[in-house]
Amino acid sequence: MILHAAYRIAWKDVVGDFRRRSTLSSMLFFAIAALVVFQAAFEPDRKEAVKLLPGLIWVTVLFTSLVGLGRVFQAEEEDGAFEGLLLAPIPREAVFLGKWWGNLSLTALVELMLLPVMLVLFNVDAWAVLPAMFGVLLLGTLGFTALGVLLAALTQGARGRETLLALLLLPLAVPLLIAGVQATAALLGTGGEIAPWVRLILIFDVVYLSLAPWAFGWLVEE
Amino acid sequence: MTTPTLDYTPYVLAVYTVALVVYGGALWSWRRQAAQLEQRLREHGATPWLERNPGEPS
Amino acid sequence: MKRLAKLQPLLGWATLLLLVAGGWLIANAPMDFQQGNSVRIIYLHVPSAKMSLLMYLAATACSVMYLWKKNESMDILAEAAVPVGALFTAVTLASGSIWGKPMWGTWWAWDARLTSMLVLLILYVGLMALRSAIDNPVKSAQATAVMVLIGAVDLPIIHFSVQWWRTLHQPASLGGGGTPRIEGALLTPLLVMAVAFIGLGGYLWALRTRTVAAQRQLDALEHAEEDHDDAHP
Repeated sequence: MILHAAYRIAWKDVVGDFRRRSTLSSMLFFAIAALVVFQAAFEPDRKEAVKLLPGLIWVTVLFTSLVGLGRVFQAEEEDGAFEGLLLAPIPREAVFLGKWWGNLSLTALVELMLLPVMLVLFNVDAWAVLPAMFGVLLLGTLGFTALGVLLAALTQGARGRETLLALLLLPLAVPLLIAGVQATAALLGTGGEIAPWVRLILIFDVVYLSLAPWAFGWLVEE
Repeated sequence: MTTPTLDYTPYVLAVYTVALVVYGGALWSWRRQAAQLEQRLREHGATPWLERNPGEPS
Repeated sequence: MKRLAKLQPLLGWATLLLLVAGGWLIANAPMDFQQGNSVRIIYLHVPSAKMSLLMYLAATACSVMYLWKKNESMDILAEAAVPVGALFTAVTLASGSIWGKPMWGTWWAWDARLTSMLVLLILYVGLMALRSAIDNPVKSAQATAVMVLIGAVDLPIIHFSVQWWRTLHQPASLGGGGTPRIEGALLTPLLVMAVAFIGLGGYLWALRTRTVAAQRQLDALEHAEEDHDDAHP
């Protein structure tokens, strides 16, 4: 029942996004624009590119997801339907889950397209570990989007919310960034062991996935 | 580590100056702010929340 | 709450007394064999660091109470604790940095403690920004309380992950990064200063609480008067 309601909210968001809001394409092109900026700023040769790649991947994903998170509740804000969504006869956890799944799907799609583009643009021959890199990225995205959707709900109706969202979210994502970059570097052969970093990502995921639905419930209680 | 050859006194003085300025400044300006606000409240004929007896209406 | 208003001056005088005593003890403390005069920075740095975390703990406790009981005074206390904590964090960072210059040779090192402190400062600033960015008072109180909780959960993870990163990725190259062992004659002033800073934190917290409470009362009064004027032009 909860899962079904959540699934319907997520489906509505994703399909609605394809139809009119096109968050997906803005995220993707924001990411590519960021890559051009990185290339211009660092001008890495092939050896440097392999070393830089893990950091670049995670930084790009972090900033790109801010674009998506700024719009998580946009549909409801436009129609003034946010209160309606909360008053609907479904548990608050379902609303959160639905919003989270919607954002997660969009972010994961962007990551899926972004990774090969990055390998091409930075001339890194790491096609063999591409699935594993995507796996690590997706694992981190689980917890990160849960935290992000919670913060998007938190800053709902705030003045200058996009800036506020970045100010609040980025420092909290430091552990994920450290773990993700180290795990990806291990996959590319420029880092150390991978196991401890995957464990750290899992800790991050478990903490935020268990905290966020509850916190969302407290947030919208009147 | 070896026996210090550096004179640390300037650093020590810098730290205590920073602390004095920051804590002292905050103390001074926050005291002033609190007093001003409570003064304005009294001009409105209201009792500041903190000086109210338990259960007294606002 | 009347008790708090009476307690505040008492707390202020006690703190002042302790600070003077602490200052005298620090001035007369022996120099550390290895670190010379720089050890005197620790008397200020360590209590500030403890207080910056303690104020966050206080804000967390008040936020939990607020979310649980919906009692506005808890929200006022939580709001008042944030700038006080930010103040202590800023002094901790500044004094740690100034201490690091002669000890490590750099103003800044990305070790677990300094990094967590920097994140803590950003968190405090973010909380103040969040509070002032939402106009609806109930919504702003709820959002800030939840954000305090998220931060409370995240801070240990940050500390732990940076520590892990340092040991697995780049073993400390700076040498002697830890807090030196302090004993005997050096410990007494530290304890006095720690107690004095708890007093200072409490005093500043009480001060902010008065300000926040008075500001809210004033806003409510002026709001009511505007409505009154609208009703009888």
